[in-house]
Amino acid sequence: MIPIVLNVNDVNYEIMVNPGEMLLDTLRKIGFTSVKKSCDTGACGICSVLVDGKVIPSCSYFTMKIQNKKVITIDGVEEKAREIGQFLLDEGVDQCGFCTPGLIMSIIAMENELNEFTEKNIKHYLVGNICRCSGYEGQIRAIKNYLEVS
Amino acid sequence: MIIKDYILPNSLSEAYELLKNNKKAVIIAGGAYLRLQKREVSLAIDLENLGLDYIIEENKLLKIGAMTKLREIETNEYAINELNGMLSNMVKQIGGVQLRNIVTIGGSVCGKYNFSDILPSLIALNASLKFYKAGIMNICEFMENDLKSDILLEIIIDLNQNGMVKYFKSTYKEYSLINVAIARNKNGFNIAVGARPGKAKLAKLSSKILTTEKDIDKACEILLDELSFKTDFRASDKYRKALTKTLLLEAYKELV
Amino acid sequence: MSVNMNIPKVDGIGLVTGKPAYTNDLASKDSLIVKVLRSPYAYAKIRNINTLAASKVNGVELILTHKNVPDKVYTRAGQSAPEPSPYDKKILDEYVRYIGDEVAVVAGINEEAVDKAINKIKVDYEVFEPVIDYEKAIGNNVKVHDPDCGTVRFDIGRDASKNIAASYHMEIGDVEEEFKKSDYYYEDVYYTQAQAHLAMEPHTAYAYLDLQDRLNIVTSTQTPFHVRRIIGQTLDMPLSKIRVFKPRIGGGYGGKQFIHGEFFVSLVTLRTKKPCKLVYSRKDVFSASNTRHPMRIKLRIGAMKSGMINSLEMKILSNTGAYGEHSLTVLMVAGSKTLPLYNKVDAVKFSGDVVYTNTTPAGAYRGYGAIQGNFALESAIDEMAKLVNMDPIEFRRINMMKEGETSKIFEVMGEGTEGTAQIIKSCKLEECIDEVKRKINWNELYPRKEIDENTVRSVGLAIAMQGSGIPYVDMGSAILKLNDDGFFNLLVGATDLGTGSDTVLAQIAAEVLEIDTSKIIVYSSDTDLTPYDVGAYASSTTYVSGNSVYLTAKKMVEIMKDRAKTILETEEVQYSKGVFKSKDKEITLADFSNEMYYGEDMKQLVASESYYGVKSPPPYMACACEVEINKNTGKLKVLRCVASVDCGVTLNPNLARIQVEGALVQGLGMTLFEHADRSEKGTLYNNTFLTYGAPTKMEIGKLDVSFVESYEPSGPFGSKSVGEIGIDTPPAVISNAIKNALGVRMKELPITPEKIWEAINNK
Repeated sequence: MIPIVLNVNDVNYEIMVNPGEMLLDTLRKIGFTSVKKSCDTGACGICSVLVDGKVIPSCSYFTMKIQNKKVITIDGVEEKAREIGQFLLDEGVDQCGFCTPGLIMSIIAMENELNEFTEKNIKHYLVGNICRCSGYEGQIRAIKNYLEVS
Repeated sequence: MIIKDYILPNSLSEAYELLKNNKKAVIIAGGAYLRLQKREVSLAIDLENLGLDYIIEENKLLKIGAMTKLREIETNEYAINELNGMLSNMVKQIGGVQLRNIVTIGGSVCGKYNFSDILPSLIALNASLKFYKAGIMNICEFMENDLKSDILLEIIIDLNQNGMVKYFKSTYKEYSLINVAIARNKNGFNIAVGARPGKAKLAKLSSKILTTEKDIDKACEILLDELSFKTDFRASDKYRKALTKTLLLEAYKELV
Repeated sequence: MSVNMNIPKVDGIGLVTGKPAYTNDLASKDSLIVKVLRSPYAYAKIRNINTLAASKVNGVELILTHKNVPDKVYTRAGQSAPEPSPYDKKILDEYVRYIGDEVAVVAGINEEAVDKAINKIKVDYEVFEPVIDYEKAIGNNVKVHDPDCGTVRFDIGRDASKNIAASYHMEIGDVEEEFKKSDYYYEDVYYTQAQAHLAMEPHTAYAYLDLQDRLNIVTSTQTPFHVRRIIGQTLDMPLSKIRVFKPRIGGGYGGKQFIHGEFFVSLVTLRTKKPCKLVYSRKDVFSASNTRHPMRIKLRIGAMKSGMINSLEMKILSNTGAYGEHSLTVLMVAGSKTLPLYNKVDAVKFSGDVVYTNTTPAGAYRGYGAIQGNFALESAIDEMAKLVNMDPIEFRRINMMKEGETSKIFEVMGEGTEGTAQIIKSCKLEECIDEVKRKINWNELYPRKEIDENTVRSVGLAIAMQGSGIPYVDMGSAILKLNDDGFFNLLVGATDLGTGSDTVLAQIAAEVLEIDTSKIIVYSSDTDLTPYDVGAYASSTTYVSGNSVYLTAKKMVEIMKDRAKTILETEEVQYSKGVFKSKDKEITLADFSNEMYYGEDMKQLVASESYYGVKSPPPYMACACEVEINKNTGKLKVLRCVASVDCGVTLNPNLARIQVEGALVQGLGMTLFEHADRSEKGTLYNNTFLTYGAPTKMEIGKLDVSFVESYEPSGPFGSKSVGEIGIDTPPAVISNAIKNALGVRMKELPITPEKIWEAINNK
């Protein structure tokens, strides 16, 4: 076990980790159950968190890499999550909810990164966020409304 | 993957010494694909802190640090504006943005993955690889040989070229069933095909024919014979060949 | 007004902000970790299993093998008792019957210890030749199950000596006689694959002993009450000692309508007295949970020059894999929820066998046979339309079910047993077809448009029906409790999979009680605290559970009015919009409720009613897709998918729309992208998200779902269910579109680009 300092949502956590531990497992161990494990291969977007502002799949990111970096989970952006979440609710696409925190983190990253929000750009940016419940159409409606693009 | 110890060295020499002196040690670049392997690793050597994350242009040579993330390449102005956008296009549909924010070009190259969308393009572009110990070598040489205990630092690409990459996928970000890259420089054409399902290879004969005779149909016929195509659970060899032909013709048409 | 309103889901804000909600979030931090050692062979006997070294690993608390667990057979299927599925599964068996079958269970204080121990378990297998190909299963020398083991609750046509898990046949009229009279005849064989549910949350179960020393199981399930019964009966425990609770689950679609980890966590907790949890790895979800039944469907259809279909036969071979959960019922639904669409035939025959193979067990999956049957039937309808020389839409119009009609099949075929006759009181198929035809631009696009020498566009259409619960089998109930401050607790057994049933049921109650939905607080799916409900399957929630809530709320109004008479000192009282009125006095609901707790004549007001359906009114749907095919590569792009649905009154239009949109993409996934390739030895190739082919945002162009409102008199506020219908049409729609584009009939799912390319080049 190796001692590290992990900065999550602006709080420093001093913890012991296994050398090969993935960030997702570490976050859940500390108590951030909002980050979920789904495909465990970096292919579904469910476990998305922000590391220094970039959205990454935490299931595929070694915790040891994280030192001196800042991690943000949905717990650290509660107000923004509610804001974006309300648009999802208004379309009814918060179905089983399992994909939603990862989707919201990705939307936050997308908002900060892209300059042009066409439907094509949005879909390309968020293609890594798999959803089995909604069929995506409603999610795109909600996101467009949120971005105030028609 | 079970890792017994994990270090982030602060200098290249430190990294190299660790690699040389530890059997069953492994280099971690992004780590996303490596972690899926079922093996025990005595020491993971992470290159995160070595400043190998850059894209610079020097005298019409593009130098990409091995730790540069695929997403950075996708959005980089040189990758988009030079070489017909080939470098940006080759990474666009590798996983989603999340995965491309951690997968590195160095890891992708060194993994020599059969399904790689990157290798055909780099091969067609005649890229050079700079290693810590072995120095600079052509990518084809690297693909054919087994390099032991070394660290990839940089990929170097001559910008005095034009290129086109085409790949065929069932769903948007799946592994390609086939991918085809073609580049033209002052010496002529280079064609490389990957995911055959075998790993990317330069079609030497076909490239030569295209260069000297400018006959794409003939070059195509030769390529289908020159490279080996196999059947796996994803696609048959016949279909892969048909796709290769279609994609190559398309790529050539758009390139010239 | 709550009904027909887009009320946001009651749990929405909690879910989107990532509050702990799912089983793995709720499991206590000191839970033992439970993992399963799974068979690497498709068919083998465990000659010897040595757990000595494993048990000595530091931190290991318990190891289960077939030697130390009860030897009883049961069915894992989440169905009402007596189950129509064979009892052919043991908790842990001496035999393993597919790659992934359970061999041993290890519980330890952390993952490291458990992983270490699993690697130290020594198993000596006697490996047998497996039977992988379901078309070779019947009468094969290899028998997946010992004919002397296993039982059935009633005759389902099981014959393990022939590898038959279940069998069924029915005939109305004489199809052969009728085929002789037919002017036109078509027959062909269609194949569907073992689709994976792809619920984003892996199967998870958690157990602990409470203060009363009772076994509590918190699990990602669609059927908490069935889980309690099956666990209790198989472990010989009184049901009073067991509580099952379903928290939020991350997707079901039928994939969690069976016992997955619940037995293992139960045994570990009962024996160690400690809490424990079992979380399936994604690989295990792919290869060791369950899949859709792959089917081979033979369709025969005869029609007269007039265009009327006179004879119809569907014959199915269904692959249930290593165990027979849902075998008979899925088979029957393939016929019972498709063939009645064409109710004017003179004869109809349905028959089929469900066979065992040494592959991942098949089970419940949205559509539940109807999507497989629909693929064959609706493709055949297009073929016959061509033979008769009619436009496929017109051909359907003259032959299909209309409001006020019936089909003899309803009374013959139930789900596992006999059916229930019904007159169709609500059916807007005609309007659905009109809507779709108009929106897809049928007249302009049919049959096809050549864009250039390599590209062709076309349209395809199909119709579908499903059901609303199983009559005389599915029961739901509700309890309404009035609190002070004028709000209610609504306790329902109904299982919200994320679909929003909690919300919809609150809307029903709110509508009857004439108050705002926010005054109804729903609590669901807890075998101790909520009344019985079969669970979320067979499209039963809106119709069956909904009716029970409707009746309960009506009862509550009566109970309240009765008490209000005393308070208002009157013989007659009116209730409207939260106010009780007599001739000269009135009292608000809030004040009334406070009187109930703190007034002179105190009483806790509670109302409870149950409901079971006496019919299963089908929702209907028409769907069409505009596709574009690249003839060089065979790649098919779905440019637009237009669907029109009749599910009665849409209680929550947004949630209903999302149900259909989600189901359409799931159906298109099965049609075009989702792979289930297996090696000859039985290994599943597509067992990760990297290779399976899950549809992404980029696969489908535009989805356009709308509703044609009908009124179903037997449904709550005129509604029918809508959970499954959306998934049924895509396979036939796409196959029909390809036929229109290229003149080739695709009969095997998934319809991959290579298959299209091959068909083009083999013409």
